[in-house]
Amino acid sequence: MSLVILAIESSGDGGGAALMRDSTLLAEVNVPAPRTHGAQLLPCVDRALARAKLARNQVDVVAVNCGPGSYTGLRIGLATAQGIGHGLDRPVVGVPCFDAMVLQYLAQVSVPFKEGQEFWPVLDARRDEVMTARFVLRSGIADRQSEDQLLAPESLCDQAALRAVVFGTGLAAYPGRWDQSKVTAIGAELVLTPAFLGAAAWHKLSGVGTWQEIPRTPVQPRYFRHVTAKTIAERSGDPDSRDVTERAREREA
Amino acid sequence: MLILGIETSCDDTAVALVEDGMRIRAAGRLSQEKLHAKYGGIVPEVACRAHYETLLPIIENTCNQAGCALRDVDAIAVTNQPGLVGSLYIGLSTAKALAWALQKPLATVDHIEAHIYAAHMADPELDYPHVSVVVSGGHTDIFYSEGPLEHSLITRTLDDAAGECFDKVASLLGLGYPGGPAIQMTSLGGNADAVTYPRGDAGPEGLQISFSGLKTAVLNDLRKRGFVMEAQRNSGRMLTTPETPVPRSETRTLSVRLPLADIAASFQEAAVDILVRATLSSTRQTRCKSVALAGGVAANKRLREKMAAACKAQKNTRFTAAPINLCTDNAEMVAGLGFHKVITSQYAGLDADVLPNKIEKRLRAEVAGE
Repeated sequence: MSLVILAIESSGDGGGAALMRDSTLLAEVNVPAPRTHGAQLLPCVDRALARAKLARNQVDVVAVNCGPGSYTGLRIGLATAQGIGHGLDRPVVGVPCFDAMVLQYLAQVSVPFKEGQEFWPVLDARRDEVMTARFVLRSGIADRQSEDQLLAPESLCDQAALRAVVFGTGLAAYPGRWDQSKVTAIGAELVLTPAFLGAAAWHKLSGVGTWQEIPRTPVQPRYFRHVTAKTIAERSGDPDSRDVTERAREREA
Repeated sequence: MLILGIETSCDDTAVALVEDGMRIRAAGRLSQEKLHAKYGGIVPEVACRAHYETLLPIIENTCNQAGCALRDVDAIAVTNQPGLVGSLYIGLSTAKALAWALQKPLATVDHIEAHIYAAHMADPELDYPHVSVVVSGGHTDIFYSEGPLEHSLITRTLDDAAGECFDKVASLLGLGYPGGPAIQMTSLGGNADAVTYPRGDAGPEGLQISFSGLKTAVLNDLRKRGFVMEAQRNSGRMLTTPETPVPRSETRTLSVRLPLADIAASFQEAAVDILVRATLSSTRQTRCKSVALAGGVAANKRLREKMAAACKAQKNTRFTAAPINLCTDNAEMVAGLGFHKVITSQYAGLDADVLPNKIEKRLRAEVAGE
């Protein structure tokens, strides 16, 4: 039994759609320009399907990056994936961004790593922090050892094992703050591709016989921060005052 | 022809199934008002998160309500302009994906045009051309409408939208958010002639609309009455006495001494007059025989009343207002207008995008009589 996976990635600047039959890539189409997911993501899906010579109803499961990443980008991907899943009556699975990033890093770096090697994929979270998670190589597979977390570059370097590999676009956001005597900061150019998101989905789904066995639960995006807008109470220190002037301009009909 | 309409341009998640642009089969709407109330206004990120979580369940519910499946729908219509960019993307992405998966045609709809169409849904005999007045929290626009999809801008507010002005004045009076219903409620029993607030300069053609002067006049009036504003940037504003800031719990007692009903009624009267004046000037300039009123503020009873009377008095101009339940953001109007796009083959492609800030076509010179 094999699964046809439609993978959707739109958490960063690039991304697009890929079709996999289990771990085999059938087709991949990337957005033509950075941050054009809103318009171009669905055309990528359509073209990927055409290149793989598949009909819409031959897709068994839709996989989508559930974050962390750009909020708007993630939601465009999630809304698209859920819409397709709903329309085709197929399950949608969320793939955590870092799980896919580690898979891609290991596949693209030719250096063999030792058992127990630590990996920390990083994305810029602004305000002096990166989003990250800890992975350890066990029997050739990067095993997730922590939840997603927000860390300052210095705290990450302190927490990581000696010579841990820190990689991802988050590196470039804080140049000079990765202590090379502690960690190996390398691979700042790694941009997650739809194909590796699909591969991570396949890993996640291993053991599943048919798409009918996959549970139908809505995919929740992994937001890395709470909404930062201040409530009236926080703005004035008065729990019951009301004010609309600051936010009124953001209102639309 | 059955159209599924989706509306997520601001803070309402709305879905509707409408037949042939008129007959509402089912509709579902989830207002985020309560989510945003504690912020005192709409927070875009809060809106996006809520739209994403609620849209598909509402679609499912609405289909169940109508007793049909999504595949029975003939086309999907969705608002893609104008609005909050992140919010618009939830509706558009979902609609595009559903249309693609179900192989149904997709139409993108302009939110403002949809509001105008809401008046037609109540009054199929409303004929073209007519003057359309769209008043809401984000817009105060008057159009010359030649068809469901043909509107050119005659005039619009120079500063605040009408609904925004209601919100700000309600906030000054400590009436809460949203301000429209609060002012309407408070004005009940008040004397609308108690205070004569300025109606602003109408300009040479009587088309100029401005609400900022009115808001300032109310503020100054409050100051004169001994209530000053503790105006701090990024902080809540509240009514206080000159000397010491008073906690909100006590200002409530203080407010009792303010003739709130009179102030609210007088303000409402002035705001309504500004809108009526610009509307009548627009009908004169375009020689239109009918007026359609729509948008969230069109739910205001005094505005409907006065606009109807003023139209009647001016050469018996025909007046139609959108039904109250279709004044605030809804998907019935989106599905309704979407029907007209579909029957004229104005489909959207897979690469349809949102247009958060739309620039309207201006009124042509020959219509304007120049």
